[in-house]
Formats: sequence, C-alpha cells, structure tokens
Amino acid sequence: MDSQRATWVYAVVPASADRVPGGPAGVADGAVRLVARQELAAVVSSVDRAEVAGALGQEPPDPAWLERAARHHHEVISAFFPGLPTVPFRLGTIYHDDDRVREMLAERAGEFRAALDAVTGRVEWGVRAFPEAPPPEPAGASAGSLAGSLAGAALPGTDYLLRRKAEQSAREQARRAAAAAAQDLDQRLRLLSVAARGHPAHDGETLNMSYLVDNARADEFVRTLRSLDGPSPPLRLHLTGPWPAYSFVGLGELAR
Amino acid sequence: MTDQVSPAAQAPSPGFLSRPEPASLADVLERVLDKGVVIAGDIRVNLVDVELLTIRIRLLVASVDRAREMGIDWWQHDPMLASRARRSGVADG
Repeated sequence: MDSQRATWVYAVVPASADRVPGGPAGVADGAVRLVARQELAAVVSSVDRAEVAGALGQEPPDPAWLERAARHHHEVISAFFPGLPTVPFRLGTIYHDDDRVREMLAERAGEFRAALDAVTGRVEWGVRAFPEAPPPEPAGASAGSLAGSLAGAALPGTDYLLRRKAEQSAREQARRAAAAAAQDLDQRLRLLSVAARGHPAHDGETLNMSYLVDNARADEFVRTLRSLDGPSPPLRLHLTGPWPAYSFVGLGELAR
Repeated sequence: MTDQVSPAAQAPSPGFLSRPEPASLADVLERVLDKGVVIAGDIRVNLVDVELLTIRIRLLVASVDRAREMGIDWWQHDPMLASRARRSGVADG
C-alpha cells in the first residue's frame, strides 16, 4: 500500500451491499468502495495523508476543506440509506490501509452487528423548536395603560421604563411558555421513539433533539409533530430527516 | 433535508421516507462532527502514525461549535436560519 495514502472510513454496512449506490464522490474526490470482511463491509475511500493532515490535522484547520469533507462524508453515508442499515462513522476516521480496516471490522464485529441490528428499520428524525416571538405590541398599548394608571403623573422617562418592563415580562412569559411546550413536545415524541438524544441548542433554540423512530411509526411521528404546530403555538418547529442514525451509534450504543 | 412544519404543511406522502433531501450544513455538521461511531480504543502507536491523525483531527475539529469558530458560514447555507435572520424575529406565517 502506498505510504502516502490512507483509508478514510465513512460507515459500516452489511456485506450484502456489493456496490456503492449512486456513485457519490468521496472526500477529496476519492473513489468510494467497500472493504468487506465476512458479513460486514466498511465504506471507504483513499485519501492523501499529507492533504488530510494539512487540512484538518494542523492548527488552524482549513474551514473550506472541512465543509466540503463534511458534505461528502454525509453524502456517501446517505447513499446506502435508507435501503440498508448504516452505522455512520464520525468525520475524520482514518486508517493506515485497507488491511487495518479489515482488522478493525474483525476486532469489533460483534459491536457492529449489534449496532446494525439497532438501526435496522429505523431512522433518525431531528426536531428543533424555537420560541415564537411575541407579536409586536401596538405603540403604547399595554405599557401605556400601565402608565395611564399612574393618573397621568408618569414622566416620559417613567413611561419608557414601564414599557420596557412590560416588554421584558412578555418576553419572559413567552420563554417560559416555550420551555413548557418543548418539554411536553419532547415527552410526546419520546413515546413514539425507540430512543432520544439531545444536541446542544444554538441560536435561541428551546429544543434540539434527535429521535430514533421505527419506520412503521414514521408517519405517526411526523403527524404528531404537525398536529402540535397549531395556529398560535408558543414554539416554531423545524423537522429534519430522515437521517441515518448518526446520533444513536455512539460507543454506548455499540456496547449495548 | 429541511422541512418547516406549518399548519398548511401536507401530510407525509407514501414516499416520504424513500429519499432524504439535502440537509442544511448546520444539521450535517452537528451529526458528522459530534455524532457517529468513534473508534479510538485501538490506536497502535507502533503503526505508522495515521491512526494518530484521527485523534488529532478529533482534537482540532471537535464539534459544530468549533467549526463555527473556524468561520464556517452555516447561515449562508441554511435557508431556515437565513430567513429567520432576515425576518429578524417577525412571527412566522
């Protein structure tokens, strides 16, 4: 094996996959292929060691390279999905050569079989919820009435402070309503799921979750989500998926 | 792969699961950087240092937040977040 090359691993699938569907491009335009050992196959492509080390293995990493690699990594993993159970690998898992990948498959065959079983017939759905912004108040509406209750004694500065206070209280109320609604939503979705995992919340999200759902319950899951999105919800909901079960194949799951 | 849930949204069609749609970069990064199988227990230092590169990448490109610090512009590629930013908090229809 060329010492300048290395083997990038995307996923493990059953060896019944005898080809890569759709011919997706690999990371750094590598040709995607399968490395099989007994009933397991690793989805891999060859990469240039120096290129990967230079782009991602040094401070600072190359953001453009990472972004392209992330998209290719995901596209290759998605090529097998949802036709075959797929155990995705984290981005940047690299082996010396194909023989090392075969060794890895052999060493962890039991764990991979269990992981494939755990995701067979199931997909991951992503649900994010954002607090719905309270409707903008007409100028001086509620705060104005508060100020008015002070028998016209309010100075312009006091009026401003009262209005600010009313706005803050409305925001806090909306935040609390959103948090309660998110908790309720999460509980209902967990009832329809095999497992649930949280992601860090970004940009004011109230909820950022992944749910592992049996294909047979997918329609029910999506219907439930939509039914909770009423005419004036405290939450704005955002559904992504179906995804390969990225969030449910961590080491804990592999050991299960 | 983004699907804004709204009252007007239609029920999933029979083919709903058949084909994943393109995902937003934020959603993809969240999964390929923060999730997926991590195999670190079998690093063999006596082999050529390729597997150590895996560890180094993990340290340097560890999470979606880290990617964001690196300047990956996920807003630009995320229709949902971008439209939110444009509307700047105006309630959704």
